Amino acid sequence: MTEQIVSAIRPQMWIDGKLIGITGAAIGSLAFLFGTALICLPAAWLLGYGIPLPGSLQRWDYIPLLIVFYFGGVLFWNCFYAGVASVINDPNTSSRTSLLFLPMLPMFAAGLVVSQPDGPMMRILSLIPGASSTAMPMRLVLGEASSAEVLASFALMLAGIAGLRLLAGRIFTAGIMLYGKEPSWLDIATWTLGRQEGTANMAPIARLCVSVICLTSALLNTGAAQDPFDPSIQLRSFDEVWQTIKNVHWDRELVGEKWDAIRDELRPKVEKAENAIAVREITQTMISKLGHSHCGIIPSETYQAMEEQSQNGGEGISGLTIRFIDEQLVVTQVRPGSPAASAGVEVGWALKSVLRSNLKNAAAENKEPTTSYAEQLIQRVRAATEHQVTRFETAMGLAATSIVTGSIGDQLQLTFLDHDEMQQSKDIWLVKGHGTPTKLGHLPVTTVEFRSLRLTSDIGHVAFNAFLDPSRLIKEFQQAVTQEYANSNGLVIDLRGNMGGMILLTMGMCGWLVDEPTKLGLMTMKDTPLELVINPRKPRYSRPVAVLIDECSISAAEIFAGGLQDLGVARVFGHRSAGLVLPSNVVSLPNKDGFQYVTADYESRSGRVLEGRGVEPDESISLTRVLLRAEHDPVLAAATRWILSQSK
Amino acid sequence: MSIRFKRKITAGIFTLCLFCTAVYASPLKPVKEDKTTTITVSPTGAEVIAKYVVALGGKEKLLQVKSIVTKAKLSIPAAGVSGDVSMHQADKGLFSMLMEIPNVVTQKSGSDGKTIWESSNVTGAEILSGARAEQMKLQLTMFPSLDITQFFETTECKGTEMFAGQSCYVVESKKKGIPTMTTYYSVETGLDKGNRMTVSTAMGEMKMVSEIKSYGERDGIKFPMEIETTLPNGMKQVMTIEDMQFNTNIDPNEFKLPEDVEQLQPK
Repeated sequence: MTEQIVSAIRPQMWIDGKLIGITGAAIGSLAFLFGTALICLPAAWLLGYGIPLPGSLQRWDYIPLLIVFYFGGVLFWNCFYAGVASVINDPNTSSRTSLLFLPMLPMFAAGLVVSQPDGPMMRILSLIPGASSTAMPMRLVLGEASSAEVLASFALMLAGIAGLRLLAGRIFTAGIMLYGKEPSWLDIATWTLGRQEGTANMAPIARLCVSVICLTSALLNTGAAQDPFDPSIQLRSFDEVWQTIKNVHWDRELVGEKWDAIRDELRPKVEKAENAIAVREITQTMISKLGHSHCGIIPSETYQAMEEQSQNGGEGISGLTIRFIDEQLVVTQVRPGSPAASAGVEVGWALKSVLRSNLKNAAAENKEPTTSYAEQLIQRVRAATEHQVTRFETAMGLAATSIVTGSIGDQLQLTFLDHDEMQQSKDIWLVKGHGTPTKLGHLPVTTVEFRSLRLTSDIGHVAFNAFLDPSRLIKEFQQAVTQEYANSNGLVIDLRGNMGGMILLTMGMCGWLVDEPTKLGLMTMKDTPLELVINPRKPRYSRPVAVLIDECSISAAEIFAGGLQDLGVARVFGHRSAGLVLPSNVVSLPNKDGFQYVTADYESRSGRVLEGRGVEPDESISLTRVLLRAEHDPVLAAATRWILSQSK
Repeated sequence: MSIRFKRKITAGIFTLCLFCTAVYASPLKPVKEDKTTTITVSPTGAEVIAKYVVALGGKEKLLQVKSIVTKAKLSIPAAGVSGDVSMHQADKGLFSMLMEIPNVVTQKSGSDGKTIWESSNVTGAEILSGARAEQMKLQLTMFPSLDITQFFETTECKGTEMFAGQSCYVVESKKKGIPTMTTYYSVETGLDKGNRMTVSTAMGEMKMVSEIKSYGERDGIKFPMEIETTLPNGMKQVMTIEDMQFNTNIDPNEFKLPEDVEQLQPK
């Protein structure tokens, strides 16, 4: 009977008929389920049952794609089943029956990584035929997949279906005439790879599959390289920013009707925007209407640049600290042993220009030398900070520091006016900084450095540039206050240029400076006031403590300095701090930009609002070039004199 | 109209009627989501909790558990932070928990049966008292529902409400001096679906909503497998249990007070 049928119908047609039949049955089952849902869900809603829509159906725009992938998956595995079934004699006794459970593997695999829809595992699964019918719909609904990836996945699935169909035909052709025993794996391999009459030649099929794979690889690479502008993702990012602020901000009036009106004004502009930069600018405009610090967009390029820099050894430094003094950019510190110190740069010199060449950063816009002129930089920053939260001196200090840092190996040709107003030109090669790269959440990678030095007057001097990397910072600070400088004349905590970080760290570090549990300040979130509480830690540091701040002491540094000032356990020296103090979170947006937003208002222990005002030092030191020439570090000198006066 | 067509119409109408009958005859009553609690005919708080204990595995089985060792993952996806949590729990109020979130905090908390404490590498150590101690005890005692009266003075069922997509009994648990805890128990399964509570922390009181997304089971005892908590800043914290072992031997030193906590003990 079989021989007669085989002589009338080609085995491939037979297999195709099977595929059509079982796929049709699957379609029928789906149609029945869908039809039942179409009747039952509305009925349930009408009757008051709160049955939510599955997440996949809430994305109406993706339903056609999901259906395509579903059918592709069904067809793919039916082809597989058709081939496997051809080599099973009796499913109750065959060892190959376990192969029928193979389709569940990709489902389980996708389920394991569903919490990371854009992670590497899910991306790989979404391209493998057989797994892509599960993984790609998950990615579409839960994450993002570029058009190139979707096309590639679909193309690979089609290639897989075509290949498996033909393989099933070949296996069926050979296997149908066998009876009484199951073919061995060697038999199966021979059937699939060898030539058979009445079946397709595998060579051109193999060539076709390879072509498809190459084409999809090219497609993916193109897609990855171009990273096309996706308006829907950009709009989602804008909406997420708006909604987050609406949900979280503590000032109901500020984010009430006015905030709704801002969205109504700006959203249409985002819809018409033609590139990501335009969207970013509009979103930043919206955020800036709040008038808060710690609120803004961190471009995705920044993360890439910082990540690359971290992989290349970290930030390159010159050893210079530069601040705006008397309408000039003046060197206020030269780190001993640094390239600037080796080149003979002195404190008090005025920076005139920076010629940057031999750039090592591959992400630099171009590798051509660039020159920054101090006067132009001052004008640019002054214009940029007009009517902004960040005051000019702070922005100037940060900008000036950035032009004398870069990648390790960059060459800087710096032009100064020395103490005698003579022009001095110095060549400096940036070297690796002394800190440890640290990653916290969605903040860009930051190099955190903690320095500890005993001054000649037997005073401890600790300096750190951020309140991050808590394990290391707490340990180092604890060592300083409980061991190294426990019996010294006093301690200087240098927060000049400290960019802030974790508020928890301010609470923790203050612990060694108090005897009883006490409060550092108050954060007011929406409906939730929270106190920054200091737990006393033993042994308490009992010697005089001086804290140094300047216009680039930011955020947690200001909370720390202001809190100790209020507690009366430290005296603060230097220059008014930045006044950028609000607690915040950083999250990642759908368009891969970072979004930092404020989560609470803050006032110090004494009720001072530091945002926009900063911490005023107990002893304000106005720097001049003459004073810097005379005292090298006048702020540190003042602090040291005070500590020594307390120790007598 | 042919006879075949009429038969088809009749069959369709009959099917529809059958469906409608099945819906109206269902024992489940529709529940309207209502922000204010509506008192309907409902069991007492104690009965709901008793049903919950049965749903977990039954009082007898739970009492046989003398220790629990749990390994979990904690994450705040929106903030991009995650870490590991391990908990050891034993009879007589012994517990200890270690939470390690790289680049953020390493926090321990526990009790030796007398002193309830917290210690963080960032903020230092403290001995807890009042509401914080009570809530810590509730969180880390094995199966507190076996004897809820040791934690709360009253437990009252306030009716039913939709929570996490399910109809739930709303049970308010109160004790003087600590914030009320509102727990939602599934009407259908009896299992705890989540709660709303004001958590007393070192920094102040924080309103949080927790939802138990799924349950696991070991040795015939169910336990919350995935818990999602909405924090005051709107972010979601997810705790996923990776492993839970019952009745393993725990080194008694696990519950010993750390040195920095010992230093805080009154002399």
